[in-house]
Amino acid sequence: MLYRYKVIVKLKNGVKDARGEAVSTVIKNINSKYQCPNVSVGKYFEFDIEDIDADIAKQKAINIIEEVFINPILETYYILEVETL
Amino acid sequence: MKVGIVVFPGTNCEEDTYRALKFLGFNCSYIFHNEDIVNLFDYRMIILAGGFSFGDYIASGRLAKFSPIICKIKEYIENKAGLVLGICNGFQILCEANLLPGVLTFNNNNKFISKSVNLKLNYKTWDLNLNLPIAHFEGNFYANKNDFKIIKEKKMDFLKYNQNINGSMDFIAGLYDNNNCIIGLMPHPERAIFEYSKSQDGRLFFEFIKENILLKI
Repeated sequence: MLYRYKVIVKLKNGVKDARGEAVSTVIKNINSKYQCPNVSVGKYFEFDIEDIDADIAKQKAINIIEEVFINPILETYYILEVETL
Repeated sequence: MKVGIVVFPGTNCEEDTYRALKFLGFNCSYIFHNEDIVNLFDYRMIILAGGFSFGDYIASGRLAKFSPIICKIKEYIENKAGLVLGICNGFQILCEANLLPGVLTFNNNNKFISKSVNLKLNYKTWDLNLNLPIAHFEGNFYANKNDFKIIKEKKMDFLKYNQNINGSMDFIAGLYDNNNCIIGLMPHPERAIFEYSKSQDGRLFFEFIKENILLKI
């Protein structure tokens, strides 16, 4: 079975989000009625895992996310969706 | 004294480093990140040069840590075979590979900073004021409480900015793990060697390394 994982990586609470702040300032400058929205910038990843067992596929996906997509000092993640192809 | 300069796809400071160290009397050679037939034990110092390894995709230094050369470098460190020096992107790679504590993230002003900065190098009896160029987007040093405690206990924070230009925790510009013989720093000492450079303080930095570390290995 082929599973498509969709993952969001975010900065942990308390870590300064310089990019989010910059985007927030620009939105405010576009139109002052937007005030200063609290924007956080993260990353989106989509990848496919093939395995006959859904649990093993999930473990493989988690290993990839935690080894490659995040740095645990700064970032956290959540799996947005798993699509069965 | 033999020095190996590691080159990843996207590394772009290897030639500066080569020329600078050659000028200072070192015998340099390049090592490509996936070379099979290379014996790191032949070298007294391994340098991870600056640049944008693997395009800095996902995060600076994130993908480079999976290169075969990193396994070899870990073996080199375990055997205390010599010094590992990471400059700029090299520092980011060392942190991502957990060879140094902490991580380098986006500058707090969200800008690429390219300028000369004043720094203080403090290690044992050495107390140097240096002026070195920096050029980075992800040079903001961040460590969690545990890592920061380790840095302080082991006195690893040997190089600090005089002014906190990028938001780095405790003004940290470089770390030195003297147990494992690993140095990482964001400034570029290799760009401050020749007469035509704004500063020649890179010579002092490499003299510090030679006198304190390389001649004692």
